Amino acid sequence: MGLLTIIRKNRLKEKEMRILFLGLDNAGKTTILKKLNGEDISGISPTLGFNIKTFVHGKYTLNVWDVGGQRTLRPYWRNYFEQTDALVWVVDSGDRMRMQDCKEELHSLLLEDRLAGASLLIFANKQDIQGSMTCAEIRDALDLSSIKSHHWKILPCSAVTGENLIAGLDWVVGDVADRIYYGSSSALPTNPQTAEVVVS
Amino acid sequence: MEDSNKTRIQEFYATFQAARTDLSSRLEALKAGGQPDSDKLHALVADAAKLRKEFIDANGYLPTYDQRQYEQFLKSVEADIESLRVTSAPKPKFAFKRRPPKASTPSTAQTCADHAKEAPILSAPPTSSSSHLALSGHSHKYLDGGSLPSLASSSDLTISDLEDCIVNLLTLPSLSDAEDGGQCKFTALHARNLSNTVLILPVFDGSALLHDLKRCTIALGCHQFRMHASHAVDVYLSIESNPIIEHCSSIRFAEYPRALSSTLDASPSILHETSKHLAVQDFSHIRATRSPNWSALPAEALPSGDDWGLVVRRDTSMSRDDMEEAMPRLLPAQQ
Repeated sequence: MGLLTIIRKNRLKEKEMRILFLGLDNAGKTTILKKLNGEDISGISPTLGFNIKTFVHGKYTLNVWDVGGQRTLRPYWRNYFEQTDALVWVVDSGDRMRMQDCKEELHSLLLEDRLAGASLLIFANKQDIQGSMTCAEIRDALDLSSIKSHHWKILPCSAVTGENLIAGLDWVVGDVADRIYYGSSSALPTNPQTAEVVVS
Repeated sequence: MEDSNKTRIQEFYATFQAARTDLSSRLEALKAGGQPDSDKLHALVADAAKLRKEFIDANGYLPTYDQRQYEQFLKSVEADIESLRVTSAPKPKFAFKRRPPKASTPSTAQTCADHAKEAPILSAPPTSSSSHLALSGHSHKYLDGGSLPSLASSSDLTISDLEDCIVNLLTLPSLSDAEDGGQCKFTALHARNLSNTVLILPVFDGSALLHDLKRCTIALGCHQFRMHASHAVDVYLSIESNPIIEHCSSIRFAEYPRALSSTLDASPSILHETSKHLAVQDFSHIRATRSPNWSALPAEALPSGDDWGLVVRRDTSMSRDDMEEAMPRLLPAQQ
């Protein structure tokens, strides 16, 4: 029994995943989380600091960290990178004016060693608002095709209607499980350096 | 015990001295020989490493003074060998290859760093354009719902690059496909780069995000309110969550004016019952003390219903004279 096997078995017992929600301010990170958790979403204030939510999804317990996206808070994101299994990047699909900003923040995150290997889900939020950018437009605006270092996927969603939120979590959990818990699942191990998931 | 240690120290001293002279002479020979012979150099490296290992093993019983002496010599030998190696062969290119993202997005990282240095707020041009409500690039104009395209359903509203304008969107264009004459609705507001502008909006469901406003007056109701990099703005707000300001100064907050809510089609009850327009959080001033960047608008500075009426209760467009009369009464005083 190698050390890796021991580590895997240990994590298997916990069946926990740590998911980090990041994105620019006004993207809807907190709203998505509250919606997933079945809470009221009408009186949410912009996040000063962070929220932690724990919920059970399938066989796993998800610890979700939602950190405020205001510019003054972004330097603190780094404090939350440790042991992150998946990164969920939330985008305000109506915010054309800051797509460039959004792209730069995302790509600089992906250079972080401590986020290496983490699965990356991009939520194109606010699709309920007509005139928002489509998934394909956002994929190009954020230059997602250039991401080779992480498993990624982009999904259109709406925190208000709840569209695709569960589907997104399913993908995140499935992708992380394949990587960390592949001993237990039937899926074959995949190599994040070569495999790429592209969905538009 | 003491005796045995003493003999071991002496023995080590002898072996070390022998190795020392040997290594030094070989080093000198290599140095003198111009281009060093790589085989000899490798042998030297191996011997130096062996001596280093013996020294570490002996550390347990060596007195500290001796340890320092040996250590010093070993260090100098190793440094000499290293410099010889550098001259004899170009340093092999060794690099951790696990950095593909850096290679693939060097420009991004670069611009990112540049931005951080330049200014805290980006003014990147908008990317892409699918249909949505937009007002952009006007000056000295009265703009109302008629200035907007008519759309099928709810949309986001983008207002950018206005100067000396009055924008009244209390009445929006009617829906293009509606039989009942329902109005267009917007569920998100993005505003950027407005100056000397009065912006009057209805109460809507969604968030407002404002950038780079200078000497403006804004009236609106929304779910979330964020204002960045703005200066001298009066905000009349109806809101359920805490409004946010960041990198702002001289911002004043007041309640959404009754004079405006009464002109809305719906009853004033759509105003948020307990508006939190004074629960402002300044993200540039996260401290216990009060933020110097915003204040409540004093009652005596509030415009009267008539002042608002100048702007909103009219069927036709405002003339330049009308605007010049109305604007000083609504905008924050010039500084």
